[in-house]
Amino acid sequence: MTGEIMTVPPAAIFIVGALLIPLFKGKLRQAYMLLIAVAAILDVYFMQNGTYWLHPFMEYELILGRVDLLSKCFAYVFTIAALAMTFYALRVKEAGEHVAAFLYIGSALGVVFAGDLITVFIFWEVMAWASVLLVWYRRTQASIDAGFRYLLVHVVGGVLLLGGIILYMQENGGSIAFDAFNYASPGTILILLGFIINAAVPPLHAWLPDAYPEATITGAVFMTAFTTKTAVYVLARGFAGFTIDGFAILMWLGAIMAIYGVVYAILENNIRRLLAYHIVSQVGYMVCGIGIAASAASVTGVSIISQTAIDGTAAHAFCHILYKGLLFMSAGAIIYMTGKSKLTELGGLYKVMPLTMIFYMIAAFSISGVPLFNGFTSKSIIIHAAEMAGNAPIFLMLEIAAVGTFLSVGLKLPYFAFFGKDAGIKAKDPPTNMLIGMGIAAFLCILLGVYPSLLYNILPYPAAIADYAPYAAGHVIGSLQLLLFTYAGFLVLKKKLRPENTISLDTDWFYRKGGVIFVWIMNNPLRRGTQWTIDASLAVKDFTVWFSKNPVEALGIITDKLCLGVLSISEGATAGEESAEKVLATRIQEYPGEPVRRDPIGVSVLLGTVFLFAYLVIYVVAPHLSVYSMIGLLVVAVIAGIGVRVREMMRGVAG
Amino acid sequence: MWFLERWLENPKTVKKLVYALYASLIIICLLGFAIHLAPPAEHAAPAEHAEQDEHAAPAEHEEHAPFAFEQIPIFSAIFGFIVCALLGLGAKAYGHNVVMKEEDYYDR
Repeated sequence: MTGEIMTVPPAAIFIVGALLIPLFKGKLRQAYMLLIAVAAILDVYFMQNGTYWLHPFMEYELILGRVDLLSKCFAYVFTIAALAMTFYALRVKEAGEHVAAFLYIGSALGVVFAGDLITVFIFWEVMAWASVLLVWYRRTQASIDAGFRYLLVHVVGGVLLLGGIILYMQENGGSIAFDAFNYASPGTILILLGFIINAAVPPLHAWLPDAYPEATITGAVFMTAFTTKTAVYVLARGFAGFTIDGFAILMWLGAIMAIYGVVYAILENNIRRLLAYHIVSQVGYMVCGIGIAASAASVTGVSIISQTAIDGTAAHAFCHILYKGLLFMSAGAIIYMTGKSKLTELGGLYKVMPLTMIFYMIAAFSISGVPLFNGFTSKSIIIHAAEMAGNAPIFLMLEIAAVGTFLSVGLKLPYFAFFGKDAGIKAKDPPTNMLIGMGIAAFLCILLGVYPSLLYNILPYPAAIADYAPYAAGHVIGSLQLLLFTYAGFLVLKKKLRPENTISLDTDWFYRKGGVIFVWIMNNPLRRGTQWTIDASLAVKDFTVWFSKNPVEALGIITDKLCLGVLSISEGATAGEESAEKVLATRIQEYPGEPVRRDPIGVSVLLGTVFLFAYLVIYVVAPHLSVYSMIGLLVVAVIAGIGVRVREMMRGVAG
Repeated sequence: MWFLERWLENPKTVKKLVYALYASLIIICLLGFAIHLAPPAEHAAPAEHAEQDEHAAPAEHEEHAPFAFEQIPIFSAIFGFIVCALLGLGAKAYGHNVVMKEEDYYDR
């Protein structure tokens, strides 16, 4: 391959670059980080389609570079967004945050270019660990807790993924190729679950609105782009033809997800949590697109509907990273400059943070699909694919989600944060580096809106998108109708949609409350249960020690206790009982007391008599008797002895 | 930007903006009717394209003959308004009755 520029894996640029960050300080470090980001963009630009960077590993061959249109498309947006976000994060002093962020981006690129399942898994896990650091660096108690929950969910997801990969390998004779899984089997289902957790599909999505608002200001911006979009990429690569007996489950999951996220976003008060629920909704569009592709899969290759759907998913992912990153950058700027993150505490910010407001509105228009912004040119492809497939319910659900999107992100949040009642907050626009980062993203949002062919040219299936004209008159007018009348609806309902200072319970209630209940069970019933065995053993030990101090006296005490018990049960207690109790109490108190010294000779005579009697019983009497009769005799003897002793006590001669 | 604030807080500007909103609503409805009654020619061209195409899947590029409900003239407008109302009220109803709790719910 002469005459071509040798490229390195972009993942390596970020990962190796990350490890060297702590060596630089101050402005040099900032320049170095930007240099890495730019180098990665150029690297992706110069990559040619093909399969590269094969590594032998055990008996397999790992493919670290599977380059084709789909992976290049995602790699472009990852690296471009990384540049904008690096600008935004330039002023963070802690080196560890930058290292974590770059490791995160690098491993996301690693997944995108992975050609086999083992490589996917390795980078998947690195992503989980690097991103949890971005949550923990905020260093508040809530962030630490949220980070733990995030990590738990992602570790479970990773284990499911690994299990699925292993099962899949067994089903397919050891093949680790990462291509389309078109049938349902235990292996593919587990892999799907692992991917779905990262894609934040309900009911496994609660980690996203839990952790993203608790991350650092800049960390949350990075996180929006990579975890969920990497999951979308692997779903598009692996599950674009996946149906369970012909039922395209991803299509329905995606449509429900789109509406679910929007409903919770309408209820939410914390601005970043509102946007995080929005991510669930928008990723729902992408998952739905993959499902539409699966539902329209034909036996002769990939049908035109499937191609359009995949194109729509890729395009939407591209645009989503840009406008969601910009939304989080603006929300982060608000929190950074005002210290407040709740809509109930904000208002009237357009006066003091006008640039932030403008950037926010650009992103809000993009996400809502306003013509001339990039959401209009990308979201509509997926809806168009639904139309092509003739699927009316899905089409309507996606349109409902679009209305809700505009309502929550485009109307409710800006109205109550930037406009509306002035909360009198003293703030100003964020520092220049953040504005530059926001500016890059905003510029691209508008650019891809007015000149969509820039985006369409890098989509996976060029043939399917070639005839698509987003700015057809009917389409533009239809979108404007939807948006303007949603605005009218908002104005009518404004009072009802006021933000409230509450949280909304989500599916994480099950493991959060469930965790509390689990710990309670461990600490109370189960602990007492296990404690009992310890206590019982100690009691046995104590008893044997006590008994061994003066066995004869101890035996006497035990029998007296037994007899006293029998006496108190029986009716007609006499004065003898009370004195017997007193005598017993004295005996216990004086225990071990002096060894019983009656008559030394008497003791030996007694012992001799006992032994001789025992010999008599064992050797002379026992052979002639059965076991039962011997036991019976023994019981009779014991009862007689107790009876004698009780009579003694009754008569008051105990002692 | 103090001039932005002065301009927006001025009651006359607010009135003008409200009129502009009403006007845009009416205009967009008129445009919707216009589109419905006279679909533009550009939709016809891809239709011919589809005839010649080899792998013509059943519903290719049929944005000009989609679902039945889309034939209603200003469907998007009505849809937008009604769905906005339903979503807003429905979401709040769901929230108040089921999921919304005080902030310190998990910390107690």
